[in-house]
Amino acid sequence: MSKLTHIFSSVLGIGEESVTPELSPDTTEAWDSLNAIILLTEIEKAFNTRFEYEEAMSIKNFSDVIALVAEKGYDPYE
Amino acid sequence: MDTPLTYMKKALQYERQEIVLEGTPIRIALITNFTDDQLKKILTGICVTEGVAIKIYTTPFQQYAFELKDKDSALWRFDADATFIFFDVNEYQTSAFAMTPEHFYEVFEDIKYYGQNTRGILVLHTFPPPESRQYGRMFKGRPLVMALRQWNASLEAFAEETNNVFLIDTVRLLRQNGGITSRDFRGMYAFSQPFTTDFLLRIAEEWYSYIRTMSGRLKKCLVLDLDNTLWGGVLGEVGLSGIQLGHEYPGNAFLEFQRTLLNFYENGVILAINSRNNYDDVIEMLREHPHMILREEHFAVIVANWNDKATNLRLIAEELNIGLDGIVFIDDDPMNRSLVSEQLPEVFVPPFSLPPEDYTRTLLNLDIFHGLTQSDEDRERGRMYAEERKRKEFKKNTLSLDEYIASLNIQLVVEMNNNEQVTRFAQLTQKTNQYNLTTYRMTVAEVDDAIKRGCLVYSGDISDRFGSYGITLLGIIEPVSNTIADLSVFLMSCRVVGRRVEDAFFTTLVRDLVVRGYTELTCRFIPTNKNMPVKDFLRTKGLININEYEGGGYQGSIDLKEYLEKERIQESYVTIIQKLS
Repeated sequence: MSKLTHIFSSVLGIGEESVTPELSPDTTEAWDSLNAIILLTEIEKAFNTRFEYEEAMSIKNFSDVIALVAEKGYDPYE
Repeated sequence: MDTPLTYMKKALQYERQEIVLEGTPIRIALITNFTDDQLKKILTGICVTEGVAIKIYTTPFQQYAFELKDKDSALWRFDADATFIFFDVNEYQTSAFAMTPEHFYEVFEDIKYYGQNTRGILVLHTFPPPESRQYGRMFKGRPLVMALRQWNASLEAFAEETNNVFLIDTVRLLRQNGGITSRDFRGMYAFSQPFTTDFLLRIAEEWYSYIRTMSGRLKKCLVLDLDNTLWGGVLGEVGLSGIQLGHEYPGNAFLEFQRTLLNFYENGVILAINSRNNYDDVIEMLREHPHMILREEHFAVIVANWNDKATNLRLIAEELNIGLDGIVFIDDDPMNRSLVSEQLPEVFVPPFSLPPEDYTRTLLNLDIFHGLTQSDEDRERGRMYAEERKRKEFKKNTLSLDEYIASLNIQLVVEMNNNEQVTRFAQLTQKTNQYNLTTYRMTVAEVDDAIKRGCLVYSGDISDRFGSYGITLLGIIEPVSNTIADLSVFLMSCRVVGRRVEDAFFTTLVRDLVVRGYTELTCRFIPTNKNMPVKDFLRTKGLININEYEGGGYQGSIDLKEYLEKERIQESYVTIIQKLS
């Protein structure tokens, strides 16, 4: 399981198979504003990086996260 | 130790009832001045991981002052077993505390009011000094620095004078976590979450140590390996003179470890030995080695043989009459540890494959013997169990059990409503698992309240020719009417099991109730995983009108006069001294 899948599955309490590129706050009740912050800090911790506030706020679904991590120069499937 | 992430996952599963825990949930109220949802999740995760059912109430964001003040507020109505208050003064962001020093005193009055009236315990955090060195130089003498010091002094005085109020040193938590990794500045400005999850985990673990105490999950006994645990080297190989124990490294590290263990013993932790050695060699070492700090008299059980350590641990638990889940096993050998963990998963086995200089610190950091209040009984416990060993050695030489009990010269002192011992009473309700009819856990405030309400709180103090066991029996009677009384609590510490003092104590209670005009006692047995030893206690007391419940529980009543007639007291084995007003 990749780091990102593990984080999303743990924080949102969903199966790893449910962590798809389409996963978004609109389709997942647990992805509320509180968990969004937890996701953000956990991803930053896992990749030892930091997102700008604007970047973080622009995340609309899981594929945005993959793109953002790749943009920072890390392997999102690590 | 799990990470904040795994705890948050557990919390979610608990909220969705994918994990269901037995028992009445412990009610916890959290009061902070920041967004505390993450803290709540981590705390929930820890409790769920440890199998403790909880229900948490958090005051709405920045509503603490209103909620504390108002007896009709959701906080007061929640009726918490434990309330935790953490206010972040925070010199980087203008909190009400940092802006106006008067704010603290307003809130402090409310905290005092709440603390004095809550049924449960109240745990407060001290205020750490500002981090920036500017406060020592450019801002020297600023009101905030001095104010914080005074606030801490006020909190300390309040905790000191109020039984159910406790204080956590926030500076210690910051130091353990590393101050720099404790604050999350973006979280603070962007989301009102001023702390990193690592620091929140520290806070939650600290709080859990209080919750664990309330849930009755206390460790009572340290079972110790000897070779390379209490001293350096293998006794069977190098002999007494070759053992590393003294003022040179590594002997001094072992010496320090023994000193810490002695400290635990003096504070009521039971010590026992589980060693692969010749018994006689061990005794010789305990008696003769000039540097040994722990001696024969400090150990309640000494097992030194060539059996496997799991078998020995079962024996030790039986001998001490405590559950395996009350035992911590310390051994430097990973094979012994894994054997014990596999065969006896209830025993707590910390990883002790360490250099000796880390022993003391590791033991202290386990923080598993923490009790809410330390009574004299606590401090005495280790000694009393060690005396029990001598008593059992004596037992081996006597003939029948009846003769043995009669020869003990047991004395039972029964008192009623002894206000000076309420701490001990509350503790007995929290710690006694086996010989406990109802397993009602009570706080000091609840015991106090029971006495004020007119309940009859009977306590029994046992001694025999080997020594004193202290208050080990408790019975709480709720008057129902002029003639009917209800037995809400009846328990006995396992320290005095086997002496039939529970019967003598019960009979004394009945006699006193009859003197007070009662004719009927209603009572019940509520089964738990551990109180099977008393499942038939009431039935042997002439229980009638029995209602049985699913799961083995039952209730009924006892005709008091009939009981006394039938009983015709065969109590010649115990001298009863009544101090009942």
